[in-house]
Amino acid sequence: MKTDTAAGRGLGSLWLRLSGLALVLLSLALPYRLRWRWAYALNFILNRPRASGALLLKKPSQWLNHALLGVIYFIGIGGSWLAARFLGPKRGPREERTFWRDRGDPGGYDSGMDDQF
Amino acid sequence: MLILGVSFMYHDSAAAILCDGKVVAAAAEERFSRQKHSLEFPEQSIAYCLRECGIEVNDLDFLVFYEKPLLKFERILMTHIDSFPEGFGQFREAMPLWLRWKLFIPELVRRRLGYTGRILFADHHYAHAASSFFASPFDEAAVLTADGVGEWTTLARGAGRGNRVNLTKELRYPHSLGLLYSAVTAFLGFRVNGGEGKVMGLASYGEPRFARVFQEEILDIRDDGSFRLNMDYFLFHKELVMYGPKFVSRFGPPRAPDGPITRRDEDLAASLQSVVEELCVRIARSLQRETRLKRLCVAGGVGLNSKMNRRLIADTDFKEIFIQPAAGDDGGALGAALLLYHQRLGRPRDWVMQNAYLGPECAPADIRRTLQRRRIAHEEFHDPDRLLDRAAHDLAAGRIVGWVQGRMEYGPRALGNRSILADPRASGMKDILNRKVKHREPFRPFAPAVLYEKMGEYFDLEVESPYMLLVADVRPDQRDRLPAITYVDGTARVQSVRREHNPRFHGLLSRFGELTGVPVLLNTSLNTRGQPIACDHHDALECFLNTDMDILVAGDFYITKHPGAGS
Ligand SMILES: [Fe+2]
Repeated sequence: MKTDTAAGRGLGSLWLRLSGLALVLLSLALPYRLRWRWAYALNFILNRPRASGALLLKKPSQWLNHALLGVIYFIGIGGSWLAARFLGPKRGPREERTFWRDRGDPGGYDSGMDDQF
Repeated sequence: MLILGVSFMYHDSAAAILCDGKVVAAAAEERFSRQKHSLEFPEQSIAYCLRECGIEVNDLDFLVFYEKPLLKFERILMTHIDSFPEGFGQFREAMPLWLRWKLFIPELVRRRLGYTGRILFADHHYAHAASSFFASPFDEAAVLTADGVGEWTTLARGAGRGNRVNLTKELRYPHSLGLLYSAVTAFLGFRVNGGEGKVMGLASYGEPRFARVFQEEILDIRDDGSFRLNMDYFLFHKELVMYGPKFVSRFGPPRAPDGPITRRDEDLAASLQSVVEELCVRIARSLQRETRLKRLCVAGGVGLNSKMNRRLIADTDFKEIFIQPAAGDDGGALGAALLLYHQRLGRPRDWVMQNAYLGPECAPADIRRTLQRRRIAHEEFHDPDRLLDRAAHDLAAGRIVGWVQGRMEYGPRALGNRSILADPRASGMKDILNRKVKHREPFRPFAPAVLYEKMGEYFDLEVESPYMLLVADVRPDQRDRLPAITYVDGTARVQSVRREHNPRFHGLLSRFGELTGVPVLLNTSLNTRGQPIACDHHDALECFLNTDMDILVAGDFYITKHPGAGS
């Protein structure tokens, strides 16, 4: 079998790059649990015409690949970074007695087993 | 009720199958694909699990994945946002994989298996916790899981009662004991997700003279064992290397993968090991105080650190410990299935993990056919006692014996079914074994297997260690008798063997004990350097024929390289 372990060297379809961009942008725009439902739904829809997308772009170059990822990174991640920087709550250094975080109700983990998030 | 648990996508792909709450089969993909620590879709281990149950894929009631891919993806995105714009290199490597298949696990599973039933997703650390608590014989126990990272969690603690396990507190990425260990592993020139055990071995040679650097500069530690990493020293959260320039300026240049091992390397390993042990002891103590339980269940890759495990029992108020033998992500497949069955479906527990022999077995007819077809010298023993007697005599005469019996082990340790055995009394055995078969780094120790009934005579061990996951002191009066398995610091990573868990291996240890007075054997995995452990007799024969191993015993077949040898 062959999965894509040669990270980044394969040539994917444009659809997936675009869906990724949308995913990144969506990831900050929606409330926590909802954003994953939406993002996943979007990806699912976009994943269907993958074969046609790949056909359309039979031989995209490595350059295009990286350029697209660059666009996703600098617009998607960069935009989110800017938003977090200027709109998000300020995080200062805190002196804490403990670094443990509460995990919350275990019931949520059982019923949540249907979801990928 | 048929549940298939699967893990893949990061490292140590595996599958495990549960039939009415009983684990019927479990195996790591690397054994079939022969790619060590394979992260590929576990097609062959799934096929094996289905075969062992005698079912088709669509007979399954559920298929459960060992983690939440979208939460993991979120963590990766959020980490990139935090480190913007420095992480583009890592982003460019990782994103195409996510966008092509890691975000589409259900589609991938359906396409690869033709499966149409329900697919569920377990939380990564809940899967680890379930793999330990629900496999343990304990009705009630504290639970500790620690690894590199799951979705966000790197370490979690809680308790299990009956058919419920509840993780109450956690530490989150990037503050990770596993990643700290892996970063130092990479710095010392070993492979991340595989070389960590070598660092543990190296630690016994050094002095922890850098422990304060870890405690005061690299980590911010609280009394309850919770901690943060000072990310100035690391780059794993944004680049493709684990440690940063500050780490290098603090400790000097990293060791080249095949470079010499210096005093600095040994001391760095020792310092890391001592700090990790200290942290885990603190965490376990605070967990014990909080839960007031006397039993502890451990899983997650950090649970493979047998020196740390020893301290969890020696230096805390826990009286009993169960460590899942497949503590790494291979065990996540089993844990995800157990979690679904007990926690989600509320079914009671009536299965206890008695041994790790959950993998495939070689059929005698297949072995016979292969030996005949390849014209390999062999003798078939119809009386098992005579076979044990012959093998014990060979071992006592200093021969190296490959030992393939019954079902393959689940987890990274060979526990007497896919093993290479030798006489622990021979002082030069370690070097002979390395020269003839294993070709390992000379500093790495070999481990002993001992009769459970006799373990107290040779090792200072208050609890049993069936999965070779606890280090113990070799009793001072026995160290000279067992030079091949006594490590430089007077310890050994012990496997205690009960008759009911492995009658044939127990029989061999007993016979060897009768011959030599020492019911202990050196037990190392049946593979050569860089290879996964043998799965079937073909792999075992490959290893046997390509090395200077003296004898191979596969089932009832006594195999030699030359007709007449060994008799
Ligand atoms: Fe893990």
